[in-house]
Amino acid sequence: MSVQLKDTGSVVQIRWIPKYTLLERAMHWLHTATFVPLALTGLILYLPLLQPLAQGAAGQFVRLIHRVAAVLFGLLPVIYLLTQPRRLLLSIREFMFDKEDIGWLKGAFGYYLLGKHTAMPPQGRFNTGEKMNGLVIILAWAAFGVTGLVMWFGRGIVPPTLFRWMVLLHDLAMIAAVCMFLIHLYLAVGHPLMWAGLVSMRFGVTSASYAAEHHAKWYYGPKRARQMYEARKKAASEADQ
Amino acid sequence: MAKILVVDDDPDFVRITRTILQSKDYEVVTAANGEQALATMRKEKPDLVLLDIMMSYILDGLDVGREMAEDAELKGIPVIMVTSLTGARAQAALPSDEYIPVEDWIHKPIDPDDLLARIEGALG
Repeated sequence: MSVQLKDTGSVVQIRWIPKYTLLERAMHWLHTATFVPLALTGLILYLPLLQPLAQGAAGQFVRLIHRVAAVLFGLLPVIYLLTQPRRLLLSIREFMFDKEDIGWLKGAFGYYLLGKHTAMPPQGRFNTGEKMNGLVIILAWAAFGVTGLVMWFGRGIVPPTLFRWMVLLHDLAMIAAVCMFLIHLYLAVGHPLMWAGLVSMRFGVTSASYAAEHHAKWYYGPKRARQMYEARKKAASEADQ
Repeated sequence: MAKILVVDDDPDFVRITRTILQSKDYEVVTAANGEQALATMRKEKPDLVLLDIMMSYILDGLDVGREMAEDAELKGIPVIMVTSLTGARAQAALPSDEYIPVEDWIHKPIDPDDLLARIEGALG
């Protein structure tokens, strides 16, 4: 996209679009830096195969790392809320699911894994996959917070049945969060179509062309993005006939 | 004194800009997105528009510029684009219907003196 200055006749061409603020990026990487040790130490405590590592002094050290990382992990959203409440609310609004997400889910497997470049419904600043990742993280954060606090401080205080339920819920939340993390890691680092996502989370910007193609609703606005999508879908349908 | 329409979705930027402009006795009206901006322009008939680009969506401000250029009532109003978009670079002019004509282009964060000088320049 370009803007022409009337007097000089020169043109300003916009190449990079700010996608993530400095705080958003800091929060993302701090989240990663706390989640990875949490997951690794959690797996040591959870998997029977790794039980030898959870014994004795090593086990105490693993538990210490798990708890320190857990406190930091739990505090990150609170820090975000306190420092940039308006930005957080805007981001939550952008994470809301809408009807375009159904079309994205239908086409995502073929698009991302089979290379079928059929028309995908236009997406906002966050696509459906990113929204799902965000939802799992929010739910897991809440589940880890409640169950983790009960597991840490509630032994002998809460009823044993409740304690066991908390442990089970903690384990299920861990499985869901680790699975989503692995999918996210593959898409961000390993998938050829998604490299720009990693660039924008590193530098905060994305190219205008990538934004137009992958986040059309954010780039062109909902109305124009929808018109373009309908036109592409019609053209693809006519080509098939 | 001239009436200036400040179009930006960032309330802090609007507040600061309003203070800067009012210090020079400009009359200030505001809008938070492209749709509001066009409605306010038609109602208030400003002498100049300070227009952010990224608002409800990335091209929101450019769409306003495009619509102004096509509207006989609005196309004479000078526009200064004020944006935090990065990686923008000046190029030799090439004919393209994607180009939106504007008076000036300012990067955020703005320098108050620079902003006032450019407004004076655009108002002639």
